Amino acid sequence: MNIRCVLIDDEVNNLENLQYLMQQHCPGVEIAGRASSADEGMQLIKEVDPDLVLLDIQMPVKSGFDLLKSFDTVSFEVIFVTAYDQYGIQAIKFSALDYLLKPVDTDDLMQAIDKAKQRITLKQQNSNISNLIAYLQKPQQESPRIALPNLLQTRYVKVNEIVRCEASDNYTHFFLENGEKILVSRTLKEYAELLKPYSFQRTHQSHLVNMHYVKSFLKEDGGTLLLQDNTKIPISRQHLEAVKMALSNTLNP
Amino acid sequence: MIFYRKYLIVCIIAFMSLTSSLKAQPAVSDSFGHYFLFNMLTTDKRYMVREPVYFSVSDTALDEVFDKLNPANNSTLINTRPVSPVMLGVKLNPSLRHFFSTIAQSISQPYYTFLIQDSSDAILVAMGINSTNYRDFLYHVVENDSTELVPWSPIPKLEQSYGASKPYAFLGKFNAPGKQIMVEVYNTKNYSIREGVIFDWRSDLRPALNQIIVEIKGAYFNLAYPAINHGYASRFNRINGVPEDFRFPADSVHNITFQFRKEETLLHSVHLISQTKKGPDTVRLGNIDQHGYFQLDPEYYRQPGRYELVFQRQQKYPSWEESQLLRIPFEVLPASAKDISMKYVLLLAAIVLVILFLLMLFFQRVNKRRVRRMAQQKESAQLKLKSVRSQLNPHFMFNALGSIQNLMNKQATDEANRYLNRFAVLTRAALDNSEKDMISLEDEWHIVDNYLQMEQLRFGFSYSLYLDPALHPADIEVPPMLLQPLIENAVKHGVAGKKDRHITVQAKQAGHDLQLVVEDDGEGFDITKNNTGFGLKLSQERIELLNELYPGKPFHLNIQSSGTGTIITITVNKWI
Repeated sequence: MNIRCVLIDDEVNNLENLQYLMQQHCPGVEIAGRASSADEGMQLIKEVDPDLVLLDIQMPVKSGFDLLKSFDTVSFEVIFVTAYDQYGIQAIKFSALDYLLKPVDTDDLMQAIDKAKQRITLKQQNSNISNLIAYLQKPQQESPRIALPNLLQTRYVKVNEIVRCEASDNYTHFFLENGEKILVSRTLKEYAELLKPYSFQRTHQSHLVNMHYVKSFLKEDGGTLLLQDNTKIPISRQHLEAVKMALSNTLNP
Repeated sequence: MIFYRKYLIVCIIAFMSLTSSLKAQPAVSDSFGHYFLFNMLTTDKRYMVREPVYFSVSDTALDEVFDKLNPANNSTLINTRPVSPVMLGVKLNPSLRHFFSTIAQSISQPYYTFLIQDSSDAILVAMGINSTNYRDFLYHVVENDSTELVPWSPIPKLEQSYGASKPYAFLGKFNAPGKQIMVEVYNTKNYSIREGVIFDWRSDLRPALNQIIVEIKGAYFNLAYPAINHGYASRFNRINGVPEDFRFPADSVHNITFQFRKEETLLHSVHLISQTKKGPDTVRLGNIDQHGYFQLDPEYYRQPGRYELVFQRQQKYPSWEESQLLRIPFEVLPASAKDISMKYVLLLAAIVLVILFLLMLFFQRVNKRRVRRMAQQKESAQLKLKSVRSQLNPHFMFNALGSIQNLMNKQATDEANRYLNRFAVLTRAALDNSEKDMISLEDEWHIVDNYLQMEQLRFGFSYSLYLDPALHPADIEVPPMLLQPLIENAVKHGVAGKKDRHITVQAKQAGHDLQLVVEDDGEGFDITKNNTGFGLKLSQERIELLNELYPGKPFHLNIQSSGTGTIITITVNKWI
């Protein structure tokens, strides 16, 4: 069964390009239609009911995000396509969604399409998009939910419930306030960047700590953080100054 | 006060013992000669100072002593009187030398001392005692200030000898080798009429050391006791008690007092011989005082080295005769390691602290300056970056690359080449111009053309460029990419995605003003609303900066917008 796909981009060049690349490299994908604005795209989606939408974020008048917000339920997979949009990419990463950067890399495209195919065939509910919309609707909110995908499922966790993260090769352990532990198949580095605006501080190459859960700063071993659950987190010399700064910021916001 | 007086007396003795010998025996060098010596008080008319003087009277004309008292016989001396009416006259071995010594005080009366180191006799007469008054006088003889050899007795005999014309009292011919004899005569009717003389036959005239008192910080002790003397000395001469290995670290001793047996009849001078890194030196340090003390001031032994105090009988010139010297050697050691380390540690700590303090001040200042400079650099870098971003919006860049990718995929190789070339021109201009304040209008126009071609490829609108023929674009300078954000705005909000839309960019001359106009026929926007985009805001900031840089604030930005389009004009006053 072919996957039905819709392309939405305000630039004809990009539409042509994406179509060409998908035809060349992604067998089993049928281009069900193209649209060059958010409004046209909305119309198109309603008409063809696609499995997958390749969506440009920055378009005149209405953006790709605006398009998504206008749907009550999103029954299709989305791969975002963008030239340069730091805020948009942050939002996408937060919900563990896929995105492509222009000019589009063929390998990235194939990988993203494959993953989408899997989800479509498994008929998984795509709650990542509602998480994204929630994130976008309250852009400055205190504690958005972050998508933590593992092999079987994706968990959505409020960032203020995360006590700390610990790296384990290419995986990351999330330690939650309720004592739960979640293993995510992404690197700590990605989450360190994503969670930085929410008082998370890298203390060590293997440790990321939510500074709100710090009980005290111990001087042992050149600096150690004692958390409220009485775990001790080492601080490496490299991060010591930044940790001290973050602590004073948390104490005197 | 008493002490002062005594000290004064010592001085007078010293003075007297020198001057009187000179005055008394001008002809006979310094040996005693064939004379009797009489002690008188007199005043020299030239100085009018009352002072004691020995008069020598020939032992063949003893009566001459009375002539001395007659003013008619002397032109320079007035009011010459014997020290007492007893008028003791002393005759010693004519060849005796160094016979004068100090005086011993008997309340108001000074008793003069003669040293007789050759064990010869001393003859004593009293010219003031004669056959009429001898019953009024008594005399006695005391040995070593202890044994009364002759108790108070009447004058032993009157005699008339040595060329005397009348009898006088002969008190005796004395000789007591190694001992000291005092002869005292007094008038029983008036004790104040008395006179005495001391003959000293002792051969060893060195001072006798009693003790050495060492004063250190907060304490003092007798050096002779090794249990308490801090190890400053351990060996002492069995006979005279002089320490043989007296030594102490520099600066540890505040004072050394040498106490000797009190000597009424001898005066001792003190010399300090030092051997330090300054070289050898000998200094005269005064005398042992009347009470037998000599205090050595620490000033004299600050430097580590070897020292020796030399005590000898006070004479006109020091004799340095070894048998008459008392030597007390001592050594000043370099300050002990503990003292050095403590002192140096403190000093070093003080220096280090001062240096640290200065360094801190210095670094604080440098740091402050650096922070300020960094802030400035950051600010200017941010401005530059902003201008780079404004000149080449990354969104535009990557979209342009996407368009080129499309041309490649479409096998439109020529077109792909051309757009890649345009893209290179724009990228290079953006990089180059970020360093430049001004470029020619011609170059700016080239960039605008390239940019619009790229955007046209993406969105498919039409555009036209108009350059006033009156202008010489190669000679007119404008800030680089001044129009770029405005054109980008026109593309993004005015014409993007609409093939029938049009953008016009013009450069016009209006008198001496330069006018740059960007016009689109899009839907326009409400300029009263504060939703001016990034591009417009940046243009406004840039124009404000330019107005600060150029006199007269020549740059003006004007925006007109309605439902049928937007016209943005930059006017540069008096630019041409």
